[in-house]
This record gives sequence, C-alpha cells and structure tokens, in this order.
Amino acid sequence: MRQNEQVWWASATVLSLGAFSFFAGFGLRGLFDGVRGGRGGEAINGYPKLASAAPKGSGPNLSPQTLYWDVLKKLQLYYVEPLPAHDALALGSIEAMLNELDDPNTRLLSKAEVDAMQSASRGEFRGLGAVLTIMRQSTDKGEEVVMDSPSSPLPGAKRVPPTRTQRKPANDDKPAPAPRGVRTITVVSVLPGGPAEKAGLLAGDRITHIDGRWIAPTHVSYRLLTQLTESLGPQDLRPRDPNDTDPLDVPPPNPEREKARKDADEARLRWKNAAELPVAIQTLAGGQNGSHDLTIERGRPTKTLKVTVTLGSTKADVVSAKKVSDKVGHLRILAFNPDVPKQVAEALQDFQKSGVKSLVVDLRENAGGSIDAARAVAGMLLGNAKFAVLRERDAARKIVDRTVLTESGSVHFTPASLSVLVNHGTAGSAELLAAALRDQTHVKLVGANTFGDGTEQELLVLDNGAGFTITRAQLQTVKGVAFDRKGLKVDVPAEGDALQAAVNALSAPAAVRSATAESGAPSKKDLK
Amino acid sequence: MSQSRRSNWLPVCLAVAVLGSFTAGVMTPELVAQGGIAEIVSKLRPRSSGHELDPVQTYNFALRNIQDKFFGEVKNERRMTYTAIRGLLNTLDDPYTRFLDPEDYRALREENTGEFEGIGAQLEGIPTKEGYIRISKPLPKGPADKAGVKRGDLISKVDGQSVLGLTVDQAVKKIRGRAGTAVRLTVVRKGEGTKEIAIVRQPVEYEVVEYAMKEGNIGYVSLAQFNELADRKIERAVRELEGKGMKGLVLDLRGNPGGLLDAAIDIASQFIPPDRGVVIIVEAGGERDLRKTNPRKYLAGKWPLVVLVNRTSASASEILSGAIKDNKAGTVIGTTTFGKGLVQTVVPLEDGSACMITTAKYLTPSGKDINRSREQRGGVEPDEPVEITEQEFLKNQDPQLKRAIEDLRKEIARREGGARNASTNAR
Repeated sequence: MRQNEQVWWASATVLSLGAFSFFAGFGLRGLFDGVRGGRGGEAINGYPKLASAAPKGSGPNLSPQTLYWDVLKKLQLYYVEPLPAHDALALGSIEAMLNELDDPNTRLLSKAEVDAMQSASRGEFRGLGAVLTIMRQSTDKGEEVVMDSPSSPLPGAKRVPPTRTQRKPANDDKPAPAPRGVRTITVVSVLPGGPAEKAGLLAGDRITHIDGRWIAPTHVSYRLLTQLTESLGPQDLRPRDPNDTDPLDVPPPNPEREKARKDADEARLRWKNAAELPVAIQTLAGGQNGSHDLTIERGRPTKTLKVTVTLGSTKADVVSAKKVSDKVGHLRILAFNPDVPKQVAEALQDFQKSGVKSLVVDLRENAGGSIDAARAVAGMLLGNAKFAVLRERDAARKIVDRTVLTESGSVHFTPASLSVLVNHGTAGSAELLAAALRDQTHVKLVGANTFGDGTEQELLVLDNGAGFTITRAQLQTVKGVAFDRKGLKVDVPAEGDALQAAVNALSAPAAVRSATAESGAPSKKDLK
Repeated sequence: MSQSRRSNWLPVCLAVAVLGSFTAGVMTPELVAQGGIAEIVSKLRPRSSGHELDPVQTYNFALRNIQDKFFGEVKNERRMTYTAIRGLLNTLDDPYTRFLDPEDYRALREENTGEFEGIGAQLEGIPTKEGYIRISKPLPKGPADKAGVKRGDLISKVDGQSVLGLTVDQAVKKIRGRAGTAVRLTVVRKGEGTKEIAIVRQPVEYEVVEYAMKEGNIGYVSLAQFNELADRKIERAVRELEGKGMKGLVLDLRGNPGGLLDAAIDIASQFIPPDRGVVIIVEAGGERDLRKTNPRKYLAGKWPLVVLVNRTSASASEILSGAIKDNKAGTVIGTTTFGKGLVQTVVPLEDGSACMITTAKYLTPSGKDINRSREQRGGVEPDEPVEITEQEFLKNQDPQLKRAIEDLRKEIARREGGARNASTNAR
C-alpha cells in the first residue's frame, strides 16, 4: 500500500490543480529581498565596531549549497533572537524558490493540504468539496490590475506617485513586467452534494474574501508589511531651509492625489488585515470543518456574491454508472485517481452484460488527476491509440513534445454510439480524455466549454508531511493543441438537461487508428 | 515613511545619508564554511530525524527537483540559492536581516565609504507643479556652484532625460554618480531661459552639524547623522553657543537616520548627568549590557534642553532621544520616531555576497523596546506631539521648532523667576 501510494504520488499529476502558463519569469521576486526599511531600515549602527573587511576573493568554485549552509550557520551564531524551528526555516526557503518560478501551481503545500489531497484520491473530499486552484486573475478595473509583487502590491494604490528612491531589486535581471493579475483562489470543479455545491459555487468562481478578509496573494510577512507601510505611510515633512525665503509654488488642491492617498490608505489597511492565500487555501482545502463567509467573483464582467459555506467531509462515488435507457449507459467519472480504471472497467463490464450499446461519458466537474488513470480509461474505449502530447523538458532542459499513448488493458468496450459530457468544471486529464475521445472518434462534446487546465504537476512529499508541486509539462491534445486557460469548445452547447442533450448527440465513433501501427516509439516510462 | 517630500532640503550629496546607511563595522567572520559539506549536499532526499526537516537537505532536494523537472525557465543554481537564502531570512520576520547579493553588497560598500559623490546641491523636496526640480541651495564652492548653478534653478532634464514625472528621490539617483564622471543638467532659470550645465561629480563634504542662535538666546543645533565627527562638532557648537550667552538649547534630530552607537552615547553624555544609563544592548543569547554616560563629557544642566524628532529619526537618534526622555534631561517634541531598535552586522560570504544580520537590540535605559514590529508601533513617543502639516511646510513654517522655542522660553522664565524667588527668600 505504502509502495503503491508512493508510486502514485510520484507519478502523480496532482489531483486538482490547474493551470497556468509560463510567462517569462517574474513573480514574487523581490518579495524576499531588497525591502527598503525606509531610512531607519537602512541605518546600520556601528555595533559591534570592527574593522572593515572586504570579502575574501569570490570563489567561483564555491558551491551554492555551501553558501546556503554558511548563512544558516551564521544565523545560528549571530541572530539576536532564537531562530524559528527547522521545519519553518526549511519550508520558508523552498517556498521562496518555488515562488520565484512564477507559476501559481508550483507551490508549497501544507501537511493538511497534502493529506486532504490524498484522502480525495480515495473519494473522501474534505473541506469545501471543490477542487481549487490558484490562478492569476485580473480585475475588471483595467489600470488597477495589480501585480502580486511587492514592487506594486496594492490594488487601488497604483496611481500614487512613487515617493522614494527605488533601488533596483536585488536580483532583477529582467525589465519590469506588465501587470498580470493577482493570484486568486479559483474553483475548478464542484463536487456534487458537497458544501460548495450547497452554497451555490460554480466552476470558475474566484474566491476573493474569507470571513470578510481580503485574501492577499501571498504570505504577508512583516518585511512585506513594512515595505507597504514605508511606501505609503504618512509623510513627515522636514521644514525648509530657513534661509531660503523664496516662496514655493503652492500646488492647488488635487482631488486625484487625495483620492489616490485615500485608496492607498485603504489598500494598506486591507493588506494589514488580509487573510494570507496559503492560509485561506488550507482552511478551505485542508480538512477543517466550520462555517465561513466567502466573497465570490463570478464571470466577466464581474458579479460579486457572498455565500456562507459549511465545511465538512463529503463522500462521493468517484465512478458511477447508470442506465439512461435499455441501450444507453451513463458513466460519470468525478476524478482520475489510481482506483478509477478498475472501477470504470467494472462499470463497463456491467454495461456490456446488461446490453448497453451506447455510452455517455460524463466528465462534468471532473478536475482531472492522474494522467495514467485517464490513459487507462481511454484505452478501454479507444484501444491502442494516441492519447495526448506532453510538452516538457528533457534531461538537457530542452523543450520536447512527447506523445503519450492510451494504456490498453484487458477490458475493451467499443460503443455503438458515444458522446462526451463536459462543463466548465472539466479540467486537466479529464480534458485530455475528452479531447482524445473527440479527436480519435469524431464524437461530440456536449455541455459547456471546459476549464482549461493544461498543465501537469508532480507532488513531492517531504518527511514532515508537507509537500510541494512542480509543474512538469504542458498538456496538449492529440492534435497538438494547447488548451491551458482556453479550455475545449463543445460541439453541442447544452443547458438544463445536459444529459438528455448528450443522449441526443450520440453518434457512432469513427474507427480509431491504432497507434502501434505507427513507428512512433511508445513511451514506456510515461509520467514518472 | 521614507517620502521624498518629507525632506525639503534633500541635498544631492546627501542622498546616501538620507537612505540612511552607515556601516561602521563589517564583521570578519570567524567561521569558515568548510568540512562535511560535500557529504551533506550529496544526499538528494531530505532526511530528517523525528520528522523535522533539515533545512540544507530540504533546500537541496527542492533545488534538484526544480532543476530536473520544472517546465518553465529556471535560473541558475546560484540565483536559486540566493532566493532560498532570502526565503530563509524571511522566516525570521525581521525586515532588517537580509541577504545582499554581490551587486547589492558592492553598492552598500560604496554607499558607506563615507564620502558622497555628487554635484553638491540641495534640492527642494517636492517637484514644482510643472514637474521641475528646484535647486534650493548649491553648496558653496561645490561642483554645482563652480559650474554656475544658482539657487532657484529648475532642473528640467538630467543627461537629456526629462525629469517630468519623477520624484525628487528618483531624480537624485540620476544625478548622483561616481566622482570624476560628468552629469549634464538642463536648467530653466527665471529670465534667462533654458541652459545646459555640465558638472563633474566630486566627493562632497557636508556639515553634519549646523547651529545658530535664535531669538531670546536660544541655541539651535541640528545633527544630520551620527558619524565619527558628530560628538566633537556638537560639543564645539554647544560651547560656542554657551559663549554667546545661550539660555536654552534645541537639539534637532529630525530626519536623522542614525549612525554610530558610540557617537550616540558620547553625545548623550553631553546632555545627561554623569553615570546614568543611555542604552541597554541585548545580544544573541540574551545578555544585557547597560551603557552609561561618560561623566567627563557632561555639558548641560545650566540650561533647559528640547529635542526635536520625527518619524524619520531612527536608530541612534532614538537612543539619544529615548535616553534624554527616560532620564528627564530634556523635553522631546515632534512626532513618534521611526522605531528601529535593532543593530545589524554585515557578514560577508565567500562568494562576494553578504548577509546583514540583526545581531543585537537596544532598549532604552528604562528597559523599553522601541523597535517597530508586528506587535507594536515602537519608536520614542514625544513628550509633546507636534505635527507639520503640508500647508505649513509649503508656507515654510516650522511649528515643531516654534513649540520648542516657546517651551524653552517658558522654562527659562520659570527658572529665572525661581532663581529670583530663591534669592529673595534667602535674603
């Protein structure tokens, strides 16, 4: 079991977590450095008073690891207060590294989150009963779109004239980036019968506040808070040179500036009282119970709603199979975890025995998960075929496209007619499966356009139970179409009774070209 | 807090001081990072005993995995390590403990060479409404003065680039530079139109202590920074003012970002009676060291003292004003000070980077922690809070100084009255 789990986690495409593409790097860079403590912040008192010493010749051969070790030792020796626990030091270090990669889904996960993910793979959904991801979301307010970088972190504070010398951020080797929106907790899919559904949440909803507190896009360290205070704090005017009697041009009252100042004050207060995103996501997805008020933004233009959710554990059948009529079966898959292929195989065999010929594959609110599990399901329906294209890095860190095949086992079910039901909560490997079924057999996608989670993450679990995800690949359909942040367009849009629409849209699948007939080397070690 | 507007006399040559750094001591690390490292770093998976993570191994594990797997762009190992170190330091929740990469560290050392290289001119703290930057005072015989820059000149361009939209601090950054290099200013002068002036930047010395005798024989001494000369220059200024019949003294620490601890203690010794506590220094491990006044330096006592502080008075300024307040050696007037009661030491690292580590903290003699933190605002609270509004600033008014002088007058009158009464009674 342990072994199994390890394999699963190692190969795992993390259940949930979606989507984000990689713009040239920029992110929380600077968060951890170069914070100007204002004038006082820079004042270094000469204590202890020792002779100046230039650093010894810079050692190009000195390994960076040694440097890290060295800093840690020096902190232990010299820092005035007791150091935080080793766990905190370790996690703080890697969190900074992960954040700098500028991918919202390459991130640190608390132990509670890792646990919740693992229980979700067993069909027990904790907390909100929704799969959440972190996406950059811009606001409707155009210019007030904010970066989640401390260099301009304050929504509504954009027009405050910069008021102090900005030293170049310490590790700034790129030009200042364009604003790209704030990291926001985003609902990928909503579990039927769970707290999120009961509260009326929908896939794509952005959770902006929890219990009345704005969710800040990052940890609000005291360093960051200081910086915010410094850049927007009250002014302290020093009197002019008394010998200089020339009159100053008294600027006329400037309502715009006054407004900017007011906005800045509000923004500062908001940061000060903010809920930190990692904490908020742990509250919602970390398995705690309790009631919370959420503020939700939905759609564009944005509608703002307030809902109350009562967190709790929701048991759900990840795979469910029902007959819609004598010949038509409805196969619903809510997630792709390692047990899913077995359950789907059983369901398909039951269908076969009971005379079901046609199949609606229902991937609504399926946020994805293991790509291997989705491949196995595809193998049952398509036989040996191409499943997807993974764009990833090879050993030399060159970007390569790797074609991934279906995994064909002993169970095969070739429906007389087929349709695929999707909605905005269909994401990740569920999108891959939907695209593979459509592209390989020309059957119809019915329902609503999908979420657009086109990246694959690997989860690495640390010894203390916390973990981190790394985005390994960009997912593409068999035809080489990347769908991240775009989603798949449905052939038959359907509202209301979508299942009936899917039944109506059933069509005979075209013959699938077997992938083994091609020279392309099937990849053995897929998705390690 | 650190606003360009706060300081109307932000001189170009002073910009560095305004940024506020003064490192006297750069510590030579005793510690050499060798031995056993190779062993530690060769383990890929972070092991831990009792499920506690080892930071070095965890960092290394994350680094390897990111390098092997991450789809996006990855910076080189050194940059990633710098980031990890920043993350490590960030966990301390101490904004002053920070990592300096080689570039930052070089910049810091240049800032701290003690000489300011620039054109030697003070600038008005707020751009004019047209967006120009006004020169309030070229330092006599400074590079700007020699090149013909005059008070009231409006800078419109620096090296051909418009200053419109820039803050004064941003413009200062463009104007400052290494000694020997030239900067080309385009200035607008009333009645003469636009002209270009090329100025060769030079090290500029500026006076850390300025003093004057105000009406009613009230002495005024301002200190811009606690450097090695500060103590002697203040003593000289006070003695000279005493020689002219000074009856009360205003010590202006507004905008003073701090400096040497020893200078603060020496200056405190001039104003606080002998053998009183000035500051308590707490080092790693919690050991407390009470530093006392030097009895041979005591000057005050014969006249009342007022200290002016504001939000930009930091560090050594706060030690001095806090000590004067705690010992009731004078009245503190202005706004609550910055709140920095921590000492940093710059620890150079092997590859040319450095780490600024908070190695000690200060408490006022009464044991009060003045450091600003998540929990408290910190700072030295004035005995009499007085603000300067923007309107007052624009009208060139200084209500803080005004209040100081009023207070001193009353106190002088009270003392003189008391003395008369005392002598009457004696009779």
